[in-house]
Amino acid sequence: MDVYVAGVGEIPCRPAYGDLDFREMLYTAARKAYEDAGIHPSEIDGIVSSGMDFYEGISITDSYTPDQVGGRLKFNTLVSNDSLNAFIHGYMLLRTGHFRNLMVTCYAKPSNMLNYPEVVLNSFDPHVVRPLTPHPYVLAALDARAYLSRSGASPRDLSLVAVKNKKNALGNTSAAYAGATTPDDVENSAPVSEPLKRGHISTLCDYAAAVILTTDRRLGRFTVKGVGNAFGAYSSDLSSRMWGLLAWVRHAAQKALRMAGIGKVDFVEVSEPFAHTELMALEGLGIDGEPAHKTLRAGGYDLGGHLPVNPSGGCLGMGYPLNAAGLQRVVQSVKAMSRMGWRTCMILSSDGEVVDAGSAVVLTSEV
Amino acid sequence: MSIESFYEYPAGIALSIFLQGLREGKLIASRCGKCNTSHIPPRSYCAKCLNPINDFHEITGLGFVETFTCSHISLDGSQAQPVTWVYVRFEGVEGGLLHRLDPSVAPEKALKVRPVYHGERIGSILDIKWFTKAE
Ligand SMILES: [Zn+2]
Repeated sequence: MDVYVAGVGEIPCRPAYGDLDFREMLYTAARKAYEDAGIHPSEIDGIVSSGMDFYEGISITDSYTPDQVGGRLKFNTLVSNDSLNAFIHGYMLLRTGHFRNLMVTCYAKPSNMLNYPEVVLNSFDPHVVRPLTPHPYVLAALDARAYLSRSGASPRDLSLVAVKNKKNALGNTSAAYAGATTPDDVENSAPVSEPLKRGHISTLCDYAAAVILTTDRRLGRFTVKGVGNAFGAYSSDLSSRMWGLLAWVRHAAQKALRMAGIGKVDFVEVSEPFAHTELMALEGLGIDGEPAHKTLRAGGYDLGGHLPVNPSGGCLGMGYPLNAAGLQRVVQSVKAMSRMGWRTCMILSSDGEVVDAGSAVVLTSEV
Repeated sequence: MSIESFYEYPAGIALSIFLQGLREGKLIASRCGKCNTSHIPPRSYCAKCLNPINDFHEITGLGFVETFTCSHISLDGSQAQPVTWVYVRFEGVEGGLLHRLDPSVAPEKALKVRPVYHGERIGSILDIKWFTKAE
């Protein structure tokens, strides 16, 4: 049984929606998805929602989703993980045959959060890590240093990623942080935690998205060809962290590619809370045979390159909407396939900022 | 309005032994009796073979820096005096520890290090002042 994307909707990324609450953001995204799919909310059989209490400061926050997206008195499940994981849950639920149309939703409103670094610190061990009070960017920087050291990439490669993505975002009306910058601009941005400069870090943004999945071929506009998810080593005291590696990518991406029966794709969308996350993910993906930083330097990941990566601008250009980053990628992939005429894409999204777990999805424009 | 949340976390069997070790100025690891894997911080179970563990031993060898960063940012997001952070591993032991590096030492990968303890200790990761270069 095939599963298709029938329609997508989003509210553009913004540093802050001071005038809207999360329900109004979701309502806007859902309305656009219904319009895009050309179906009525009554035709939806259930909702898979992604929202995280931890970030939103509202207990069981994603359970407050159905009312504003057309899910009242219907099946609802909550996936407290990156929203690409929620997307895969929607896909699997449809494959059971119990549903015809499902909506996957996500939102994040980090502008509500007044102490983001402390909130993130709460995800670590209270005895071994928290008393040391590292800013989460310290942990990202340990990752970045380990990646550079192992791969032979240089800090300037991180700047090339930032410049590419911010430039790509210039063509995306949903992006909050597009810009024409140079590697020197990024190098000269404030040092945060070496080797990371401010320009290597995706700025948080408010965002909501809705994607309608269906098993009805007449409604399908894109096909979900393959899915994969994997957890790497993962402990809250950081002791099993393989610094500088995203071990999950190879497992999840190969699963998705095998299911899709293909070995390469036309482009990649990957959530990158930090510039090095993109390169680490591409290294794990390993579909272009070269070390990722060499392909990057040669322009291979540019819009006109042989494997465009984050043509949407990624999180560096659009903003990083935490758990909503995965569905942000799905929406951008669909937009890019419609606009650019590309036929296949790989979507990768980690389950958080500095974690070794995540999801992979292969989409095609063939139905 | 702000609602504060209050939690207390018992450290558990293995981590209590680790924290007690810190009070005595020792680094304690666990060892699995089945697959012989040692781990720091210690565990009361083996993540490799899921065997229960009740064998704990002191790490006497030196640590080494796996990765490091010099940070300029404090937890409230403000610019701060530079602090060097290190992730320290130990030969023959799985896992490792995040901590600060002695500010008089230049960080580098594979640098051999040892913990420097405070004189007064309470059974906390902060009983380690920082790691310093091992001569
Ligand atoms: Zn064992």
